Amino acid sequence: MNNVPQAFSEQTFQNFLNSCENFLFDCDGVVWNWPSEIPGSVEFINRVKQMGKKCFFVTNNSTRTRETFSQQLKDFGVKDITKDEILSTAWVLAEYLKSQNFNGKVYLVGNPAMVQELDRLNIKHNGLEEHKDYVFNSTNYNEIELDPTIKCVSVGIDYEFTFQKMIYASSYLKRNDCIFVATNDDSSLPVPIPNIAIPDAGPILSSIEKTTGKKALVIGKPRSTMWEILCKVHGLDATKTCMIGDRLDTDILFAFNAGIEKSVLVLSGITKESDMQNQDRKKLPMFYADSLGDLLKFI
Amino acid sequence: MRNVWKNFTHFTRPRMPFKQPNCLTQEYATRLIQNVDNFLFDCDGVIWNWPKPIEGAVAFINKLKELKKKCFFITNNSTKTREMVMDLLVKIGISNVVLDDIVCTSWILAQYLKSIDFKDKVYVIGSGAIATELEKESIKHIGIGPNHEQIPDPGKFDYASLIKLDPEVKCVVVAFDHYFNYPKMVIGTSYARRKDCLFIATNDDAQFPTGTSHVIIPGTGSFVNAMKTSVGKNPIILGKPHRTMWEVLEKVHKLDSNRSIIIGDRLDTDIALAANCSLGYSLAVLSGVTDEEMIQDYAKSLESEKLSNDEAKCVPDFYAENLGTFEKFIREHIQFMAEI
Repeated sequence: MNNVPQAFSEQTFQNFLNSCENFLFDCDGVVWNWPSEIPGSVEFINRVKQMGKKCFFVTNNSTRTRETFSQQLKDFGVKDITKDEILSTAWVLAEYLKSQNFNGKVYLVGNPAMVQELDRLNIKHNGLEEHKDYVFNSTNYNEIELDPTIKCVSVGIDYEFTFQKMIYASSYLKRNDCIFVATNDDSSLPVPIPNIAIPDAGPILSSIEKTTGKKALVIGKPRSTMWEILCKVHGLDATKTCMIGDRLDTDILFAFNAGIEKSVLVLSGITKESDMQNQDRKKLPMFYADSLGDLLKFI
Repeated sequence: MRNVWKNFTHFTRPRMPFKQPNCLTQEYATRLIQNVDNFLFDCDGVIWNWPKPIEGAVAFINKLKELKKKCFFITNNSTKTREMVMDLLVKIGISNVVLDDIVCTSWILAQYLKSIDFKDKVYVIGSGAIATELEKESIKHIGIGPNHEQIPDPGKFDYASLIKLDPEVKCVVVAFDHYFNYPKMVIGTSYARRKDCLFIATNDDAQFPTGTSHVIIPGTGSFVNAMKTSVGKNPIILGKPHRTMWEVLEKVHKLDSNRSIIIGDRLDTDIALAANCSLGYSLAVLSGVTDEEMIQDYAKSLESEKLSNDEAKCVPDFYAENLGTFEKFIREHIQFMAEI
């Protein structure tokens, strides 16, 4: 395999199209830079669907249910899209717990989308609003009551994250039989406002990992977990699948970990062409392009 | 070069000699009294598990003072000013303590900013003690206390567009804050990512010492981890095991590091301080967060040379149940000295 990423030519793109049955798309930086569509992305996806290719959307964003994502894509103009084509980490985390026959209760450090996905599978969890207005400090730590039925701590982005939640999450993880899972460990959400940072699940997760000395099982890219779920549900063949994303250390590394050779980096998101220099070979895509829209000329 | 007594076996590593830990005995205790002038005490888990004093601690410290030994109190706890620590020491019965015998991270933060001539504003994730110490040095700060911002949906970025950052802020401090929450992470990260913004943490302890055994209370290190992951760079850390607090004591009191001992309950902060500052001795007490098994685990790894430099620094020279143990050993010594 040639390790140097190639720009597409008419010929190589035709070969590429013919050899792929399944297209996996990241969303941020590929389909949209929220709130705007990246020009040509939706048309590319619709054309590829028209050719009979299967399209899936694989995103680390834990703040949306699959229904919401599919509605968003529909609103942008993607045709014939259902929730079954979405892999979002809130859903995958719930599916993962189900696949492990988890029947305890979850302590959730997360958001309403994660609540909905757990509820859908009847997985019990604490409420996000629990202890919301209560402030623990050194005068009242002994008033903290732990729920003996909690057997899992799940972490995703939580915009109501507090010191109180850190105490509960860390204390439950002291138990040997308590499992520790997280949707993703990205450090921030991509924000269109240049001087403001919006932390993602990564910082939240790292605070709990520091307190407890334990490491969570992280579901999201670049781990291959989402691919494994996809395979299980849809029976996909990695040799006939391609992954298109805008991040080398999430999307392209995910492709490598999943055994998907055909990976494509689009430069419409956070990565520049020069970022591919001196890069670990696991993070090098097979092909690169300016954007999905830029590939329309080859179809 | 750390002191080595000829009865010990020790394993030399390329740069520093590291020794197996020894349980404190009568003989070691006596030799320590002969060879040490300066006793540095951590507080939580050593002198008290507040509000309970640890057995023998006060008696031991007061006896050391009778023997004309110097006693210092060096704590990473950022929720206390020096005055507050002194209050606790006096309340618990330790005699003749002055403010300069105490170093704590809230105070050292103010001293550090003063020493670099910092004239701008600080965004603080921390407690009222930080406010008090900064205000003493007339350093402007914002951010302390509860933050009641509601962030309905960060994925929509409406909130992000509403945030106004103060251009005067040129430093972000992370200290223990029981009001820590997501909005503070947003604001602190947005400031700290700026090129000209300092990023400082009072300490990096993973857990906060507390008498409550069924819960784990996150330490400042937990907040630091959240912030450094979000910001994408490491803060300057002022507390143990870093040298800053020792250097101030050493300078102000003209201390000889060879004739100094650190006594603490946390291996990666108190004990590691001895290695970082080339202190003569270190003693771990088991009345706080560390148990004997942890020390034995380190000892086994040290023997098979499996420890990194940082881990090897966590192996104490000596360990004992608590300060009461040390006190009992020197009781006879003191009576003997008194009779001369």
